[in-house]
Amino acid sequence: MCEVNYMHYAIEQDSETSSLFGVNINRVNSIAFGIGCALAGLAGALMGSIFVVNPAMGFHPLLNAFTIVILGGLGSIVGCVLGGFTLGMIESIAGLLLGTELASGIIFATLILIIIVKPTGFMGHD
Amino acid sequence: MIKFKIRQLLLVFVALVGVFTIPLWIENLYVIHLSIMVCLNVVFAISLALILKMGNLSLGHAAYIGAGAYTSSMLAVKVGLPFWLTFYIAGIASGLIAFFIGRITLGLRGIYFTITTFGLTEVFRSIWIAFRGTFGGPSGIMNIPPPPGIETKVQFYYLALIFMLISFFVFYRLSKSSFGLLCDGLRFNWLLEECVGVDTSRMKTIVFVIACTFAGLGGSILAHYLGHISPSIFTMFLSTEIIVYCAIGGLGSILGGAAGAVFMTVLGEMLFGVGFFRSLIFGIFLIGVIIILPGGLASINWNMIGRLMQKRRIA
Amino acid sequence: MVLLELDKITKVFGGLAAVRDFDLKLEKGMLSGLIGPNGAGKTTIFNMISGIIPPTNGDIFFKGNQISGCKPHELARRGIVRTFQISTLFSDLTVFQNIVLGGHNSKGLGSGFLDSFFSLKKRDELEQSTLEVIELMGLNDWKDELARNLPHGLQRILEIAIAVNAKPVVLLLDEPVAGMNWEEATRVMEIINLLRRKEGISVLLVEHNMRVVMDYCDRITVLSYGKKIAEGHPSEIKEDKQVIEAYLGT
Repeated sequence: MCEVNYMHYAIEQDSETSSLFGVNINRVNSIAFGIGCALAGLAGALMGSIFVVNPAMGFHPLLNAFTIVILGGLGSIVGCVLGGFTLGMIESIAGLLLGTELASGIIFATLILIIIVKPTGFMGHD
Repeated sequence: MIKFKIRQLLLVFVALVGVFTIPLWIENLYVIHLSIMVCLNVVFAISLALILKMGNLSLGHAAYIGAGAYTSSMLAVKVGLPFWLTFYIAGIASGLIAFFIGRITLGLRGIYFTITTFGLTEVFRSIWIAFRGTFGGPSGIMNIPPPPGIETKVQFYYLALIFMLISFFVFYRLSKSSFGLLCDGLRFNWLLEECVGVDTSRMKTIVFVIACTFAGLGGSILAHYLGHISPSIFTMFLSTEIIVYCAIGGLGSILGGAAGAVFMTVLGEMLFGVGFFRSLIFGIFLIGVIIILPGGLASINWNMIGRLMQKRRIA
Repeated sequence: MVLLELDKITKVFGGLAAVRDFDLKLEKGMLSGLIGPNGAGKTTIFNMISGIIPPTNGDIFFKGNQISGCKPHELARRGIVRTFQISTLFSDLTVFQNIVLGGHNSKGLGSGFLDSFFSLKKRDELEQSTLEVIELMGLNDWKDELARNLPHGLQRILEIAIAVNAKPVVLLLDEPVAGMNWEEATRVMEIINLLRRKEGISVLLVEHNMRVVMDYCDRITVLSYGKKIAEGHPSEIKEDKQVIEAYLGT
């Protein structure tokens, strides 16, 4: 399992050379994609039990996910957790002060600000 | 050589005559509506195509279309200005917004720029929804007057058509000249272009502002045509639809973007025109194009057709 | 006449001083070599001269004016043009288009906007100058070939051609003959000498190919771990003990 982790880093940095060293790029990428989608599906199932299920239900969470990943830093799982908490706080506080509609705008304005000022987020490595 | 040019010009002339006389031989108002949408989509597509040509993926085109639409509608409904004034102000407004946003974001690396673009779309939407007094909230702005002197759909068609032809002329000429070559250079290797003396940040800003200005102008016409706009029109779905037009047409090609817009608008309406079926069609075509024909429609040339014919003969 | 002067240039990345207190003078018409082991800081110096990164300390003067901190495109317009260590081309454009782009701003076409709607004399001049450069560099047979289809040696020559069309006063070449055999390398160096004679271009050359460096350079500067350890005529450098120890070997 740990090997796959290192293979990810290798592919991210230089995929051609990684394949020359025996890393099966398609398989590793598929595993990563598969795990990611499985987690997304799990989250969707959980959400479905609270909110309405419809074909476009993924849209708003997707935008939130982008924001969280950037806030936390691309490539860092711990960063995602931190980013998630931060986003939740911002959304709630902004929602309280400015109303829910403007809150989503505030989130994206924050996203844009973070990207301009510190694109690597909390814990991202470049 | 000369024969080829004459053949091309003749083709263009026939096509022009054809599109100008559509209302004469088709009476179905739905087709006229479709043609108006095609014209507007072509303008949206070719303006985005220019941004793509310089190497920046913008998922925020809907924001600029919406900015133009809202500016034009609000000036018309609340201040009472005529369309012929609000049209140009809408374009200027979109251009100015593009200028300021562009100055800040165009220097960012690829994916970060893209994220700011769709962030902007959502920020605009939330502003339009939240400030009900100014922007009309979720129900948007209603009773937008059509341009004075243009009452029927057919007249609107000619307005849209002329707008599309002028825009196409501008963008096509830009792409076929040094300007277009510079854009390609930016896309392939902006560092090299910077180091041979081209002010790349100024270049990117110029391209972005021109493209978004035309998006805003198109948005203005859209608003006055529909008569009623709301934030639910200018979403990321709209942005991605326009991306699909450009992707099908081929990256870096203005003509391709236009062809993609025509093709997909007509196809989308002919098969299921509404809601999620539309997204399904678009999705299938996008994936299909990427897998089968990555260069898009623009990469179809005589070489490829020749090779296909050869394959059939051997088999 | 001193065209380019580096005055105690220092570049610090984090805690590491990549270049420290480096001095260099480049006179008009000179072909000066900059050599040293990998990681010595040669490309960093090039990056500072061409404006890609600013020096942490020290100044750079061009024709007497201070240029440290100027943007790369400003420097290119003034006449400082560089090539890159890693192959840097417009990969999906033709050879002709690549070289045209190189000369674009030297002909003052700006953003190319006016050229879209009016036929300009400047455009024709640019095409003419591009064809001349193609002729000079021997790329005639490949004029309409895509840059990425060229063999490596010709790609390097193309990169130099793009830089040449930008009408440089000072040309910074970063390992121009890397990966070339002796014939190709000589051909490139002869073209560079021709440019020096014809256009009066001054050249600063980074190279690992010692034969080329010793045969063609008027003067050599040796860099090791960011500091200058020797400078002088090739014959002096060949004998210098410090240089032999740090880089040349016996």
